[in-house]
Amino acid sequence: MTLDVYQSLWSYLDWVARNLFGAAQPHLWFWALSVVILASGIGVVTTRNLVHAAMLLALCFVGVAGIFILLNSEFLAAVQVLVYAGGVVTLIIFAIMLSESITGRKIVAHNRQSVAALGVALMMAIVMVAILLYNQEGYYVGPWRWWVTPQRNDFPAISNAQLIGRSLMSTYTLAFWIASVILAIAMIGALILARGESDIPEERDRPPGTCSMRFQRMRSSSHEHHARGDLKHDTAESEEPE
Amino acid sequence: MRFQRMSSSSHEHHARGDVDGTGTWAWSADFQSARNMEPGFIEKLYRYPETLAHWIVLVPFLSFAFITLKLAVNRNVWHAHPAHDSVGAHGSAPKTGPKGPPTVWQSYGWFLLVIAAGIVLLLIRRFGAGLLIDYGPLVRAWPIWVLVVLVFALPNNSRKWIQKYGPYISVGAIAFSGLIAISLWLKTLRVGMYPAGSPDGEIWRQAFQYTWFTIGDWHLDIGLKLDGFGVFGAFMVTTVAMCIQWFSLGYMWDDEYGRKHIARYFAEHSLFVTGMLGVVLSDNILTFLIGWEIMGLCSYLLIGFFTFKPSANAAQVKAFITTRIGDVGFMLGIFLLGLMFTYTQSPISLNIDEIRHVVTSYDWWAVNLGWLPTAAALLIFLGAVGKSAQFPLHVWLPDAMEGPTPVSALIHAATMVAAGVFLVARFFWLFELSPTAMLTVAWIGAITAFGAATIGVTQYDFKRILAYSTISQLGYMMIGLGVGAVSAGIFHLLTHAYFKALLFLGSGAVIYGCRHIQDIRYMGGLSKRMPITYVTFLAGTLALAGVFPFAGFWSKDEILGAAFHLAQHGYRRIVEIQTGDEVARYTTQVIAPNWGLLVIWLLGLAGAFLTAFYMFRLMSYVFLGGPKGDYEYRAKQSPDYGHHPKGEADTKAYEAWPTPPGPFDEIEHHHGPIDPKEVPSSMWVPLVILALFSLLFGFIGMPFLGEHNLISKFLHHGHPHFPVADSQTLGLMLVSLVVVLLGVHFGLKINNTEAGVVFKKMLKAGYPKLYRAVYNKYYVDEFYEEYVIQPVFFIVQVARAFDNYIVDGIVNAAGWLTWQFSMLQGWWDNTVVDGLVNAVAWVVGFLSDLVKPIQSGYVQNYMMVIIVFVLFYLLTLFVR
Amino acid sequence: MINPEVPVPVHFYILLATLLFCIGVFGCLARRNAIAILMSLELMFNACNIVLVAFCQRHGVTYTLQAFSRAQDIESPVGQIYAIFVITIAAAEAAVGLALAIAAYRHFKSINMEDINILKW
Repeated sequence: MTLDVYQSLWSYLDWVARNLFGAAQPHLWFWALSVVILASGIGVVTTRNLVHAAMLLALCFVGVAGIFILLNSEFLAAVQVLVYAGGVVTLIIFAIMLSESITGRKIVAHNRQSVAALGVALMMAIVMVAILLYNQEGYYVGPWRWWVTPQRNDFPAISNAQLIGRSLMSTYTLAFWIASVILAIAMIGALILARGESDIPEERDRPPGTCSMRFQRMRSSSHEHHARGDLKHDTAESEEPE
Repeated sequence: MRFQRMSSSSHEHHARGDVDGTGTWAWSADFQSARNMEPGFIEKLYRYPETLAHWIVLVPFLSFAFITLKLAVNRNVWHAHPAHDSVGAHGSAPKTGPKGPPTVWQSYGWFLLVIAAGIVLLLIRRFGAGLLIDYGPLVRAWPIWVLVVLVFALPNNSRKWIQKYGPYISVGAIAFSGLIAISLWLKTLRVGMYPAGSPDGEIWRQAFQYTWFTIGDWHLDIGLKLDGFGVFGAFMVTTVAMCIQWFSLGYMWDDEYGRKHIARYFAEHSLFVTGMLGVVLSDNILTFLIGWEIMGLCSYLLIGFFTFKPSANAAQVKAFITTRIGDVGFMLGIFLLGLMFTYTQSPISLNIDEIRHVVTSYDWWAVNLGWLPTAAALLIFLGAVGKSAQFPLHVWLPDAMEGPTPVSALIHAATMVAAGVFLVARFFWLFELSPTAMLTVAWIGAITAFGAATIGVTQYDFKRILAYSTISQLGYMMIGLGVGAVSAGIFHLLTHAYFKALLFLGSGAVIYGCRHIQDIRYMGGLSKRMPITYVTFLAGTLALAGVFPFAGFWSKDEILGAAFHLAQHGYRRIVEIQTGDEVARYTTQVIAPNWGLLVIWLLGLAGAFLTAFYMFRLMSYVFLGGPKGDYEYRAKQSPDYGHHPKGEADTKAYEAWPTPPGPFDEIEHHHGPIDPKEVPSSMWVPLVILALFSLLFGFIGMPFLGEHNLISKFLHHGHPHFPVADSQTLGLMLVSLVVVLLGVHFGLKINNTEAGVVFKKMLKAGYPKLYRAVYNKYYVDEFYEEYVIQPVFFIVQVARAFDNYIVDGIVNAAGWLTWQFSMLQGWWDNTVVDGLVNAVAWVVGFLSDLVKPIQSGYVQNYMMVIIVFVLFYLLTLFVR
Repeated sequence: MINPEVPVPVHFYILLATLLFCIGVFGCLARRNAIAILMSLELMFNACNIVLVAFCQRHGVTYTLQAFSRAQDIESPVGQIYAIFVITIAAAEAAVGLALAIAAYRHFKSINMEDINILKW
């Protein structure tokens, strides 16, 4: 009974979707996944709570993995989940933890150029969509003449993993090795960069909002000279009153 | 200068230079023989004085120049210190020179400079071959070089020398000219002006002729004219001036100021004599006018000799301006004479003879141009009115008594006031042409003669009485000229010079004796204390009054006779018309006989009565009677007390200027009881000389002489008129003599007798207004002050207001505009220009402020910019 | 339930990726937290991956070699390989970036990007 309800619901939605776009209609799974991805993406960039953002990011990754599956790249989907949702997000969580930004201070999520950034992003979206919708001659090709992805109905002889593996070891071996070197370098670099500074006494006692001696820079004479390392006064809008 | 004199004379001539034994000598073409033949100076002096005639004028001028130059060059007045005399008028004078004793350079430096200049000139002459200049005029002007060397050769460190010896130089110069003038006069009397057989009549026409300059074809010739007027005039001027200067030696030395400035006095004196001699001897209008103006200048200077007296300053200005008004008329008359030349179409000449020839040979009345000679004559007479103090312009003469007394003697007796009469006499041929002019001259002369005499009756100032008497006598001269008796007028001029100079010098002696009191009411009985002065003054008074046989009698009587003759017969003019070699001569009646003109004679007669009256009134006040009390007391009552310049009289004798040895020793200078004593001999000798002249000079013009009447023989314009001593003449003489004696009688009686005193008081009480009017000189001065001077001052105020408000307003406005413009420029510079510069900087700042936020240091900003540019790139790629 | 008869046009994948990319751009530019910026960066990476794999799928996983006159299908999953490398590099970059963020936080004592504004003259 329940299964029938779902099946009928699903077929109903499928019928709606099919009739909505006519010949070319994306798969329903695509719609769902795209909604998930976009929603979680918007959530990542909007939420004030970094942990929430990280969680939403993971959700986004999982959604992307679903997209990969839709695109017949199961291995890639697995890699995506493992590396991204499992590794990168974990890394981000650790970084959040180490940066101590999760205390209950009410911090505005967006900076002062958020409106301009929104505008820029919208412009970008419009431009790229326009590129999609218009051909070289400038005619609107519309959604009814979209290319159709030639979908192979037969299952491939080898699995995606095998495919990727064979290619990686034969054709793209150089890239594979470079990638590994990069990973090693990155590991080393991250280790060096993230080394603690707590054994330098002056770094411990430095008040927040000031920079260390290492960040002395030339100041032009047009700025007013204030105390060494006083960063707060350089910004136009600062939270503390002057 | 060319020596061109032919002289023929009646006595033998075998002098050097006498080529053909006829008494004429000639300049030989042979230089060597000419040097042997030219007479020496002494011979020229007594035999051919006409060749030295130019020295008559030049020598006084050179003395003036020398004294003036010396005074100018000697600037360091160095007083030897009177140590005990620190309190005085010149208490601030330095004890030694301005910077101490003079150095050798100060003393002789100028001389060395002159020597050096001479050496330089000689070197130029020797080696400056390119400097071809004509040395002739430089050599001929050798007196100038001598003068310059003399001026600078003497030590120039103080003025002591020139103040001590300058007067003697001046007197010597006048004496030298006097010698030449006397010699000239004597020769004139000897030889005559128109010796028989002489072709051109006047042989003395040009003794000296010099072409001053040429303009194209026309050249200006100046020279001396030695006709009767010139010779007699020069004789008179030099002799009188000699006596006056001699007298002034003692007179000016008397007071402190005179002693310190005596050289300036004598310089001005000499210049004055130069001017008068120039007037008398010149043959052209230009030098006549030059001499005229020189006399005006010198009268100005001499009247104001006492520079510390404001009254003297006012008087000198008044004299100069009043005579100047006359001078304007004189010059306008000259211009009209020049205008006459255009009508006659003759080339213009300044020579008086040529002007006379041109003017008289043209019949002006026929071509209806009779107004031209009338106007010219009247204008020239205006000059004479100013200079000779005739009725409207006489106001300066009484005030000119502010000058020293010898100055009054010179100016107002002999020279300056005579110049006007001389002018009319010289231009008489012009006055002859129009009866209007002649009658104007006569009437104004008559009014002046009578009016001044009336004023003279009431005055109390010694010199003022004599001044009015001078005005009156000048009126007589004008009467003489106006009625046509030129020789009579000039005769009176000559005699008047002597006795008026005598009277003035006598008054100077009295003033000297009375310690510069001038009010006659405080004098009396001086005949006993100053006998020589008394006698000479008496001689002068008798001459002035016109008592037989003194000089004034003959001259005044001739004038009165001529006036009567005019009323009886009118005046006839002799006209000469020269056609080719023939001379046609006829007479025209210029003035018709008119018994109304007898008034002139009556006025003259009344004037003679009054003259005698007031002169003897003066005598009775001053000399006769006894002293009216203590002179000291009366001196203090005198309004002239303190006549000495303030302060200078209270110092002791100027020890730095010790009195020269000789006649000045007895001068004591103190204010004690005034004890009038006789003047020293240096002062009464000139008085005696002048008295002799006034006694004897008249005899040469007696009407009984006929052809030997020297005055009539020489003082004419080509037609001598010898007065006939007929019964009419004798009768008129008698009448005037009786009138004069009456005047003498009443004049003596008016003060010394009770009846006279009572009569005087009755007149004063009976006619107070008339008496006041006469005493106040008929209010002429006040009239001028009210109606002439005040309008001029008003115009001056208007002009001054114009200058102050409008002209200065314009200047101030220009300044204000400049200021405003500069303010505008300042504003422009500050606001606009600086604003532009600031604006540029502001724009830069503004733009930089616009651009600065681009580099925010904010990484996300940079990222956004990158993305935006990428977006643009995409757009350019995909959007056409 | 993949409906094999109805293929999904590649445009939709591109559209999806585009939107995801723009979301990532927005987040990159508009977030104050450095770590949030890195998260947005990951979003952008994923958008690229989607596009890569979509194109690989569209053009066929195999590549027809035309070289030797006999058609031969070569397995050429370029997009997928590319996507794998992207994932790899993205992970490495995330590690390094987070280490940088931690280091920067330690120096600036703040994770706020607005405080780190010393990249200027």
